[in-house]
Amino acid sequence: MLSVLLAGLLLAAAAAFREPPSDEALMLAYKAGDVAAFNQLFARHQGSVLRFMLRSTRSAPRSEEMTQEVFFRVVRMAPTYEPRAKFRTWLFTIARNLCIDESRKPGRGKTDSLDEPIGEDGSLRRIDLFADDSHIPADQRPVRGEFNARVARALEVMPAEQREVFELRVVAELRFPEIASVLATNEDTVKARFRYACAKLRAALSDYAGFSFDAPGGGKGGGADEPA
Amino acid sequence: MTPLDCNTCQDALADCLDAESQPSAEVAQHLAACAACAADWSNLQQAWRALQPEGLTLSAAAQERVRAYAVAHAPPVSGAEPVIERKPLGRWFWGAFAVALALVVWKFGPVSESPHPAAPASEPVVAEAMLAPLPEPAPVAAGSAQQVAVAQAEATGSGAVAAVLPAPQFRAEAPQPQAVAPERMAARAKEEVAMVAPSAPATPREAEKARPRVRSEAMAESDAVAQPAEEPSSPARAATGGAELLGAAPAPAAKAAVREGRAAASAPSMEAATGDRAAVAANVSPGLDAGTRAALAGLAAQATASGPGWARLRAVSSAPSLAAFESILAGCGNDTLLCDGAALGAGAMRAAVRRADATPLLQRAARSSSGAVAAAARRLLTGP
Repeated sequence: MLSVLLAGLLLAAAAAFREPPSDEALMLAYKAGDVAAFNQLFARHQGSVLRFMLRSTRSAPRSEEMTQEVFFRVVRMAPTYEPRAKFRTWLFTIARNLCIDESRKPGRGKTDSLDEPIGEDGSLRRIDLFADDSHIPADQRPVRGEFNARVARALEVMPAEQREVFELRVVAELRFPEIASVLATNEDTVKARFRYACAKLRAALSDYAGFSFDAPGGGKGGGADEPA
Repeated sequence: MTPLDCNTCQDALADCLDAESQPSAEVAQHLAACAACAADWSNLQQAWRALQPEGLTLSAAAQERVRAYAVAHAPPVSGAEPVIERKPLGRWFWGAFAVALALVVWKFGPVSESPHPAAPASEPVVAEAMLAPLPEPAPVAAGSAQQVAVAQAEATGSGAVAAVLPAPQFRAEAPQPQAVAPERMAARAKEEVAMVAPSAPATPREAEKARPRVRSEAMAESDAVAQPAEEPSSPARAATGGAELLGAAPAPAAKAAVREGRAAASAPSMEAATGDRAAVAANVSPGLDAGTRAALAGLAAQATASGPGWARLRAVSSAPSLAAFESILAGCGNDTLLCDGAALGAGAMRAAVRRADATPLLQRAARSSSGAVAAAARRLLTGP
């Protein structure tokens, strides 16, 4: 009786602590023909890939097309997939190569500025389409919009190498070793580029030092809501 | 905790720019103390949030296209189990099952009195076998090994051995190593023949007994002299139909007979069994009664048959008296036994000398003309 109860408790604990399958296991399962595994992978990573494409192309329709193409390539390359590295590294390597291919196409060199006014009255900027500010109090949203535009401008003027590292780290949330693998360079170089990018961003956002969008009422430590 | 500088702090914070990582305690302490780093970190977090629009997903149509493409171009099913969901569950299940089983066994299983497992039943047997005395020597065909050795000695052209052993002879031998080099076997055979040959038969009966075994030139002459006198055969010899048993005397039985004083009853058969060398040894000590002579003959026969080495020393070490000691020495050859005793078992030999009060004998040997014998005797007298 005791053993049965003990086994039941252990089984319940096992079910409670069941770990989700890893990306690599999902991809291997899809390679073996399990379509449901691909759906899980797609649900996990489509957001990050879309953000990365959006930052790279600065165009919502193109970023969506390219995100689709990334997953199409994943499907096509599934039979030859080998889990030699993390799946995210492999995925963003595909995404980056696709961005490079896309930038080489004629007529695709021009990119839209995220700070570009859109809409009939010009009060809405492109970056506002991608920034979710629903959690920000209404009276702070203009400040948040300004802040986002400052971030976008800082990234635009950044050298491409630094911006690429910064986007892979912040947007795609890859680790430095993974970024180094995607860019086919060493980790120290990646860290140095990221440090330079942060320094430029810090300089661009110095006016907002200490400003918090999350705190009720927002504002700097001194209570000022607007940036200096 | 060493204070953190701002550069190290910013490097550490760069690793925390995701939804999961948190600054370490050291970095958090620095952030609390350094206003500049805290402001930079706040800005970086805000920038990260600006670049991480929540709920950003592909449109439903695009998602459907991707899923349809994945279904259409899915790799063929390889027949492998879809391990995605089941593999972790299976791992957990079997782990839990094993733990539960272990607990059940631990709780309700048989309780052992001893924390250590019982020794296997075979171990005492092995120990007894290791400690047991050596088994009685089994009769082996002496003809084969010795004939080969003698033949090899002859083939080498030494000429020292001119003996031909009768084919089916059996004798008791002390246990010898299984693998004996032919050269050693030949040397041993020559040594035995040389040991036997110089000692001429003391009686015609001995000459008759010795004849079939070794036919050297010297023995042939001896045989020619001793041939006419032939004594009646013993019952044991008659029973064997002429096949002589050399060294088959049971040495423990002989020693027991000496101790118990009942050797007289078995004297005829003992004498027959021990062979001619034993009789030679026994006749060296005149004045002994027949039983003691027979017992001594057994010991001497064992010493003779065992060849040089420990077996011979065991025999002489068990000599109960000076007469026995002298008998065995004479049977084996004084020189050989003294040298063997000094080289191999000086302690046992000295003990035997003390027990048999044979010191005068060794003192005489110490004045021998042979340097080796004299040295051996001196060593046995004075110790190492």
